[in-house]
Amino acid sequence: MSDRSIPSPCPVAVPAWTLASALGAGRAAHRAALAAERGGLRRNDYPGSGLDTWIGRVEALDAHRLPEAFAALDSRNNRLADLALGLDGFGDAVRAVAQAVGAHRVGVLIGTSTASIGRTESAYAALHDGHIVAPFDQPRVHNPHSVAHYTAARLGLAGPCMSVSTACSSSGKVFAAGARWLAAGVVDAVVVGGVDSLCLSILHGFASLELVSRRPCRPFDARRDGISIGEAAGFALLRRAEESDSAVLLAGAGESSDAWHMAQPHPEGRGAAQAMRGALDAAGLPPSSIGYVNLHGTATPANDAVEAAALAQVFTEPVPASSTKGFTGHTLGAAGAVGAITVIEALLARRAPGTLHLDEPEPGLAFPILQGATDLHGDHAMSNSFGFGGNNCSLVFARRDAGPGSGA
Amino acid sequence: MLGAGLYAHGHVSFEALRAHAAGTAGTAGAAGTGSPDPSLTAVAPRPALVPARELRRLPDPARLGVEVVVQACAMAGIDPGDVVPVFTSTLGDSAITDYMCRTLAGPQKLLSPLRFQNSVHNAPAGSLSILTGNEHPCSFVAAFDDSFALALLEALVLCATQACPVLLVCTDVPVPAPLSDVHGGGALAGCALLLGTADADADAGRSGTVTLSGSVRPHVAAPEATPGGAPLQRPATVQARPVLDALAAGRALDTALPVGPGSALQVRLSARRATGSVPA
Repeated sequence: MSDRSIPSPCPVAVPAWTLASALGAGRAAHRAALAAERGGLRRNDYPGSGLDTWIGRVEALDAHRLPEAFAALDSRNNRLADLALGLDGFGDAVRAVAQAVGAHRVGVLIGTSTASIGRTESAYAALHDGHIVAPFDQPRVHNPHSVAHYTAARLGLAGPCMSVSTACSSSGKVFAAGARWLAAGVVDAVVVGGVDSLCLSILHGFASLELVSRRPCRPFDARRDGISIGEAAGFALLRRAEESDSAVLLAGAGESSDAWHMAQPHPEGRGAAQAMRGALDAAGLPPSSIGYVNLHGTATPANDAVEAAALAQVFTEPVPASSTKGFTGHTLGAAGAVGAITVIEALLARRAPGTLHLDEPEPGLAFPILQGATDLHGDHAMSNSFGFGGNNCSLVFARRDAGPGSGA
Repeated sequence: MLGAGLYAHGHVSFEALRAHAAGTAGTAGAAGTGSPDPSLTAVAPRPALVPARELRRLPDPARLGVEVVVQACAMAGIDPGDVVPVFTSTLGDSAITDYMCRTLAGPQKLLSPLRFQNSVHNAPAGSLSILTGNEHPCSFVAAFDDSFALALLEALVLCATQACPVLLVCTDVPVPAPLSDVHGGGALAGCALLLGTADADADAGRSGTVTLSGSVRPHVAAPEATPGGAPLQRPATVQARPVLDALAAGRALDTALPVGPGSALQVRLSARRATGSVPA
């Protein structure tokens, strides 16, 4: 079959990144939790749900409020974005670049699945005579673009601002789209990322599909029985490779569609394999150069079996691979960005995270899946994200040490 | 430009819009030919591509998407499985949003699994991919008032890197109460634009007679009076309409579509070449 993935105009520099998830707020909290194999899942205590499951909730969100000037854009999702934009100096790094190249030359590309639907649920719970009333009369919040709009407004950016909403591949695809915008000259820098927050729609929607586990999720375990839902925000700044001496590069991206089923992966992993091959081709790398793969690994019986099969089609030799969903939960529209940042951190630390709660590996897998953390060899690593509608995205990142321009 | 599809604003096809444009311009056809009739597009289309059994399960945005995609591809003689799709919808499927929020505000919170899986914003794109066997990468974008402009920008950027045509698809559906308190009532509307690639050879024999180009430039927009409250002005299919009207009339167009707080996509559509026999 011919490869139909879009060759991404890579490499692209990644000079700044940050994230918030159930593991904590910021890069250091994530490094510490992954190293200590300390998960972030808890029994479901999301208000109004009562569903018997475990969730990945961002604790710092409880006390976080938007600045007064942005109060009219209030929603849990925008609070989560706001929290993350203030971490690891990310917002300041973006503002400095905007100062240098002009705010209208810096774009925003955010992947999201939930957007602010949780706020719309609250509006419905507080109807007055059947009408949506203050403070829920927020056109800029009750729509899929809410968090990209918030991000651009909060950072004072004036360039093109777009949301990508392809379910759980959303914030993988924004890295690919951002690279294209840079190559086409649409922008000189672009903030990419993913933000999805806990809400009733997601908890009870996945429960209706019988895809939610009653225990902390167990990716690639023989007894795995569904996902744990989490929330997260992850952001990265992308620039042209020659215009930034970042320590990490986005080396390639691959995207595909299954053309199979709305909510189930292709049984042979055809689309997933296409996306991985596409990312390797775009990066100009053989499979043997990949030192670690952060798998989509949601812990549903179907996803993990199919993803392992797809992995074996692309990588003829075993490759170190793990899923970090047992740490963070499945953060849906943010999963692509969380996976990408997990890979970036792993490359820099030369340490690949393990798969929390994987105790009895699924028998018969072509390759073993990492149970514990291990040293990462090589300068390249991959991140997978797959979504409803059969929408697949795979990204390859590279350490820049060996290349020219590796000053900072 | 290789093809176009329309099911909106009283026109059941791009051909109907063209007949209307010709009639009102007095250049061809009888006056009044193809006059828009809102009752014709009040309910979702029943595209022949979709088996009757599946049509009942297919939400309105997917039916709209399939209809305009089939129209645009038929005009260019291209298989809908052989295009790179870029979808946009300003609000997605508001009927499902309303259903979910209503159900979740009640005590039971038991959602229909079918309606939940169709609640993802990219559901119409997934349906199209499955129905046409399209395995190409597919994006689904949103940008509130600027949804059409950003989807067009994305399509133009993709055109530069693709070996096959890029298909831009917009779908909007009516907004039920109480969401209409916030966004207005909206209307059922879909449109599609099929863009050829920069690789002229790849499009040999099917070149359109109209070219579309765009560039991003600074653009100072009026600040929003109320940051959380500026209501929706331009659903995707409404913002797309000037481009479709110019295309239907064979007129040139040079217009700025906002794509961000301080930037716009300058869109240039050439007039139809006199010798052209290809529809778009």
